[in-house]
Amino acid sequence: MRITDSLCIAVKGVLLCICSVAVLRADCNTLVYGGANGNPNDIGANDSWYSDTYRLDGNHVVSYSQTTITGVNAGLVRPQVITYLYLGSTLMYTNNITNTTYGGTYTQTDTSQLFLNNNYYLGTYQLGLGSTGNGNYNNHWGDSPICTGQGYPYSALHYYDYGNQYTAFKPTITVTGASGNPTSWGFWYLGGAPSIDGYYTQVGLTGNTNWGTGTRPITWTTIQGASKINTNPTTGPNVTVTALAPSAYGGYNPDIQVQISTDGLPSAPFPLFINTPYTMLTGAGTYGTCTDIGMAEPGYHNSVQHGLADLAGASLVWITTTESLENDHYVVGGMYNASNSNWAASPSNPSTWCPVGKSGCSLFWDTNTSFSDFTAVCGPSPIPNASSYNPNGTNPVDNLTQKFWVGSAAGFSGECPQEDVLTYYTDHGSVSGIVTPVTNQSQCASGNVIN
Amino acid sequence: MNLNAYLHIGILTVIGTLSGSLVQAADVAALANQADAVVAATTSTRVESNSSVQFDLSIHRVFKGSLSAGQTIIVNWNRPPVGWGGVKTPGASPGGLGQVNAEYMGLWFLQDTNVGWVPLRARGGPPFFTALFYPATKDGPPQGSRPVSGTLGDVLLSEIASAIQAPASAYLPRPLMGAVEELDTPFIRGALLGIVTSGAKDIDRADALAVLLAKNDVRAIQIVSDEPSLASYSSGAGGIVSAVRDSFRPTDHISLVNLIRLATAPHAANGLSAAAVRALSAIHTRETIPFLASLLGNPDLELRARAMFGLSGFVNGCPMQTPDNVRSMEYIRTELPSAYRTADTLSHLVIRTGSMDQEVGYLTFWKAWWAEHQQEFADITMN
Repeated sequence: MRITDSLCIAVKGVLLCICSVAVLRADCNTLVYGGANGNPNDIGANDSWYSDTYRLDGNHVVSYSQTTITGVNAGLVRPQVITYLYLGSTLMYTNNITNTTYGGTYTQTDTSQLFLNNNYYLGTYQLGLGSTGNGNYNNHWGDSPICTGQGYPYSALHYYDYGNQYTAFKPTITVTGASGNPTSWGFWYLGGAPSIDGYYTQVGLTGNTNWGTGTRPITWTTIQGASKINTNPTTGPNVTVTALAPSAYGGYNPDIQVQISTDGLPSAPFPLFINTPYTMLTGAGTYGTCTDIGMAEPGYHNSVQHGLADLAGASLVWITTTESLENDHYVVGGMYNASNSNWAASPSNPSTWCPVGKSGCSLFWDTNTSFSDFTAVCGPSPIPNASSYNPNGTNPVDNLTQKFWVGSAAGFSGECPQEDVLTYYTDHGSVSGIVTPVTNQSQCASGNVIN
Repeated sequence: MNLNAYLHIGILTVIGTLSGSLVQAADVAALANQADAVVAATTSTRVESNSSVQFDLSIHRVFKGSLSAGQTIIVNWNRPPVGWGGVKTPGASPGGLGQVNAEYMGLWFLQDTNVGWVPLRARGGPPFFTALFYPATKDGPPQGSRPVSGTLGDVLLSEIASAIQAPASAYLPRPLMGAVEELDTPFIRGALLGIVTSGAKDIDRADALAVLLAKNDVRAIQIVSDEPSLASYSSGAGGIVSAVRDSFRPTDHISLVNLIRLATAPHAANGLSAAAVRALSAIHTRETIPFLASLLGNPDLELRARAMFGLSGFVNGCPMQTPDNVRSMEYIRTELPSAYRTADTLSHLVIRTGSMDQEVGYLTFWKAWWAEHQQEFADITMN
């Protein structure tokens, strides 16, 4: 018989239930000795049980275990459960609270925090570990103080179970589209200029909650070097990180770290290193006549060969680089000035050096790792006339401030790893006063000259 | 043997990550495909203006097209304006020098257009007239040096190789080295090696060596190891020191032995020792580990950092650092299999140099790591 609604009261030890369908008599005698529903083996109280562990949100795991008493004598029995929550093989805690309510279902619910007080509690959660022989089962049973008090000592059967396993992982960060699950990443800062020639100033990162399906909350945080990157957006699985400044020159490992969290459960920090063209290597190049380079004699041409190095001292392979030339004036203390020379009145055009064959360029790097900057004074018109190349000549005419801008086809845009003084002598060009690295990029601002 | 295959492999390695228009200056076979005519010819007169050069070509041999040996043609080049970088022509608008009588023999790549023959630019660097051709000789390679059969690219490479092996004074102005730097075939390597081992001027020998080192030629490092003073003839970003430091990355035993020999040479010229250390730390194969570990106690902060860079790169499974992965910085990714990698070794990955204060924790860690694992490398002998 099914009892749909009932009101039970105990009168002198006898539990009386008034039901909407029928009135059945619950009594301690049948609870203890059987005979309910005319069946000598039926005590009128059936015990059922259930245990479960599941992820509540990003940072919490819920363990849930219940005992349910049904039957005509259910109102005489208090359902009880004792749970044992394990993380791996470690008993996290025991839940053994006595239920004082008769009948129905009694539930023990525990919520475990996966990240608490800077400690992770990750791994496999399970209620009851008895099946492995290395721990306890959950204990489902019932008691009946009301019958025991009337001289019917109720001794319910104990039923033991274990729940499902739930394994919790940290959220993780991967590089969008990268193979091999890299655990760190390097990209570039080019003075604010965008990616060029395979030097990327942005990186796409993907956050993985590693729990549940569908959209789960992800929040991005920069835990080191926040001023050096912009993360957009700051929530959600996919973000673009843009370099705002380079990593520090001194140091041994990446100095920028980002992290994601899902409802407060953080990932491991993901290290980022932002490289930049930092120094230049300037050495001797070639020399020759004006005829060599297709210009009128007399005069000279000579070059210096430049290379670029990054924060770690590695030589950069070809990247679009531009020079700026400022403040062309006659050398103070030299033999020449505006009244006896026209050299300073004819500033040379700045160059842009491109990767070999790059579309739209006319001047290319010489090799993978070097480009040449030419100085030349040619033709019959210069006053004074230039003479054949002589690196030991001592008559400077004019000079100017030269700055290099890496990652850009325009001056004053990109990273400036070197400034120097370019001097035109009557018989050769010379680079001096080299400042590299330029640790304060504002030194390279337009109008800040060193000649 | 299909030499063209070698050529393409070499070029693709260099330009693989860049846009598709890069073959012009680098790939002689692609140049030949673009050209309507490929000839070995001499120019003796040219007229230069600000934006164009007109010159004659006396043709000796024809590799492609309808031109004939003995024929002389006029070629027009609309070059980029000469007002680039550092060139001053005070008192006059930028302009050319008019007629020039100067002889250049070369391998030319020409297109037949409605304005006549125009040249394809053969090489990178500045837009000099000499960027229009590869070196060639009037008579071409000796019979024994010519490909018995092969593509047009094979034939042209043999021409270039032959010219490089010709007297250095005629065909080895330093800028031409840039041309062959981007070509890599047995012909080219043999020609360069011929220059190195010939009685050429030391500066030409050194430049040829630098190019060979950049091509990872194991014979070149042996020569540098035997004659380190050559490095002083080839300085700067394109020289021997730079080639060793930035490009030379073979992993064979002999090359590593030679690099260690240079790294420990007391009088190696112009930073050659430091360059060799950098190469070894970039390579960081198992064979290099005992040597790199020996630098952990070196008084030089930079050398200790390089030792830790190599050691931590090996332990954590970082790829070798090469010119090809400088842009991507793939060399700091801990993605290769490694039996030694742990959370601790990952957190002590060294990618650059810091101060002595910053160094302490890293140096202590890697010294301890080496002390624990040294016996596992006892089988390595580098001599």
